Amino acid sequence: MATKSDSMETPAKQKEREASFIASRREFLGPISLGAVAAGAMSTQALAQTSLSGGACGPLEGTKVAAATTQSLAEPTRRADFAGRGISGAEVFANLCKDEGLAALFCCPGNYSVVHAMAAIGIPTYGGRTENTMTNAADGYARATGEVVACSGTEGPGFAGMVYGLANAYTAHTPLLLLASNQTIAGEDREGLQHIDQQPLTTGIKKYGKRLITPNRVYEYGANAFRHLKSGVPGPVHLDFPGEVARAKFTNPSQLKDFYDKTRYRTENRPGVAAKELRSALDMIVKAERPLLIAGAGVFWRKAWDPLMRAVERHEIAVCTSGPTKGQFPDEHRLSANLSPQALMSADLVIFVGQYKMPSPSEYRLNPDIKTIRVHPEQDSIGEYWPVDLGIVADETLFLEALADGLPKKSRAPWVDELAKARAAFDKQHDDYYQLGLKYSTSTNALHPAVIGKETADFLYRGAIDPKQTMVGWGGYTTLRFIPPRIRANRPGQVVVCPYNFGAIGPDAAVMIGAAAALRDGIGPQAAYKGAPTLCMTTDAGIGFSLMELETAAKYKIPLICVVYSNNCWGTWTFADGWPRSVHVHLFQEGIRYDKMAQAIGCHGEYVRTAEEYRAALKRSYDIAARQGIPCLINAQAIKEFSSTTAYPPGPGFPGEPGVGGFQK
Amino acid sequence: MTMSEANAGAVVNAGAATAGDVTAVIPVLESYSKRGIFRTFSASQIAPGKVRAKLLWHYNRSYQITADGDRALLRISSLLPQVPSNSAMFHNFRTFVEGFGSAETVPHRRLDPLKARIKAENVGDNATFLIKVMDGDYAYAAQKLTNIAHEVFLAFLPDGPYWEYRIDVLGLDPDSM
Repeated sequence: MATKSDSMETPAKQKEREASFIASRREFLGPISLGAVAAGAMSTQALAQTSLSGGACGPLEGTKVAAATTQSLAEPTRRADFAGRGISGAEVFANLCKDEGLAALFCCPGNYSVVHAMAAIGIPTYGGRTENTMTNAADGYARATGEVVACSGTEGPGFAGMVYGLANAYTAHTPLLLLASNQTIAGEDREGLQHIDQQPLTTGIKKYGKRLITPNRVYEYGANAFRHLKSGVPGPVHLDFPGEVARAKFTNPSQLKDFYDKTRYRTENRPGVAAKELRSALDMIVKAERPLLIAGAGVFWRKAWDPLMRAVERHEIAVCTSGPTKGQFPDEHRLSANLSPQALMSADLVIFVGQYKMPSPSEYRLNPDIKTIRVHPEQDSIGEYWPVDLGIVADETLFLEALADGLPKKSRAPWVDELAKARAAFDKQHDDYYQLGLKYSTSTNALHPAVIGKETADFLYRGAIDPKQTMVGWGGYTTLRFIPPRIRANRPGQVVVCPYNFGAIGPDAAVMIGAAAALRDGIGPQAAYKGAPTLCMTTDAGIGFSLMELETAAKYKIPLICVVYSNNCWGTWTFADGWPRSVHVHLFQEGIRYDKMAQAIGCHGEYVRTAEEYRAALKRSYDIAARQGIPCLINAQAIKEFSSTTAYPPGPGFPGEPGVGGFQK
Repeated sequence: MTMSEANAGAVVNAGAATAGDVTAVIPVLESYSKRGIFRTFSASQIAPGKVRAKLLWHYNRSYQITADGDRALLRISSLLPQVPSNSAMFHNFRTFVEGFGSAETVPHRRLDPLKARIKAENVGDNATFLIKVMDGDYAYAAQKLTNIAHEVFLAFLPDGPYWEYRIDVLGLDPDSM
């Protein structure tokens, strides 16, 4: 049966979203300035060239979504079958992806047979500007939902651009399906246009990969791909499609090898915890005075937040979260240690659950006498980097369920009290940073990141909007000390750590375009806040990698607000201290108007230099994004000297891990 | 008299020490090596009543821990180099480490004053601290010394305005963070 594709909102769907999202948030709309409400009520065209106040401006006149785009997205979907002229290899693969519930596809033109077949069958498909950023966007969509997501690009040049995004996804253990066309088998070794030997280039940054060379095995290899994507510890899969495979025709299922469904080519069975190991774990936990559970990426991917909550509340175990997505345990919970870094050294037992990337003992703020339990679905990495007292091979959900069922009820008032005191100290430290930042901002007429952090938090969590509704992603190390500690994850998937452990500068906006699409459509854990805007806290260095992709966000009406901390340089400029002839390497031109660039590609732009301007711009942008699905960019003007520990102390710094930040492991 | 000697003297005068087996520090420190806290480790009794341990630890730097039974002192050498004694950083360091002797610190992290006392010291612009053993329990003192030094690296430095210090002096590779 034909259905409408949902990769972009139809007018009816847009109305439905606005009605359900905005109408239920009148309280939020109330405090917004009259000017902003008026602007929000305008059409996109009316907003064009309208100076809202100060440095605010809507999309430039003439920029609009093509009617052909809207028409294309309204086309009915169809599933190819073996009847008539048969089914192509690309369609066989697309059908399998649909049956596996592939959540979305982010691509650039290229790999046409596969991309067209996947869009046709109704997999939400987004076409963007570069393969690299679309790979980041696919990664972001997966991080926000816990679902398998695909990206696709053309052979040599497009594929080469995807490597950066694949590496980012690999480090984050994202179940990303990377697809690329790749010339023909017949043309191999003849230096054909755009041909490149792809699989060796992704060695070390994929869980599984294969160049498909036998047309009638396309289904078999598709099944292999999903077996790897949905089993054990997640990771990316890379398939490259020569023309002979994508364009092969099949008129009968018997022409395909191993053509049987997912209930037979993979299993949902997971390793449970053995009774003996469970007893040992329970014994260690009961004996501990100040236990701490680190809920890593695996807790999110396995959607294990409910048994986690049950277990730790039953026995009053403190929790830190880690990984590329946060919110598997709420930051504001009394047992959360994410905002209590001063208490971490007091823990006498740590239980790592789903911590795919293990730190060494000198990387986490835990005392050297701490006892350690590590729970991991695969045996081969237990004990690496961090010595364990007890290793348990088990699925995260099954372990946490067993823990919740096996632990006696216990109160740990002194431990909970210590967490609360440490949180108060943490809050005070950040309030002190804010006061200092205000002073710096006043004296320089530029926004210090501590001011941005505080104002953002006040707006998102202490204002009129539901503190759980907005998803936030962040990146950029110059602001790490001041902004990420202000961001709250109080529901699964509410925060995305864009550069998680790969440390890449630049994926932020693109990752959050994907994540914002997932929240807009209410996919997986985002369902309760369907339609809400998403915030991306990035930097001028970061936005340089992905600003053009805001055009894609505008095309698909993805309500993303990018806050660009614009300090006119790479955050690295202080490293040139003592190398005066090298300073220029780290600098940009000053006063670059990223907001104007955004306006030129269909977005709303704001330019701000003070706390008051930022506060107003954030409210205005939120309203415009929520009401009209127009992406926004707030250019927050700073100065590079804020990164100096001597000129403007305390300067940059990495929040203590585990818990506060998440940039590293 | 150097500042170090003055500080050590102050701690020594803080109370009478009880004799104990100074070699008790060796198995305690060795246990950290066996559990991956120290990356390399060696220790020996270098003279009667004196033990010296060498280890590789934070920032891939070598550290030396000495236990002196005659003076009932444990010291970790050159914990933070290039910190002038009159600097704000040393002032903050002193406040931080000596806070472990304060009643404001939670009991499970504080030094029991009947067992040990702590003092920051600065020798040739090297900031470090020493622990005076009050009851002859060198194992306790070695454990506390390790814990407090660990907090210097994982709390004092990252929480303070020492980003550039960590890069310039301790050799932190900012690209590896």
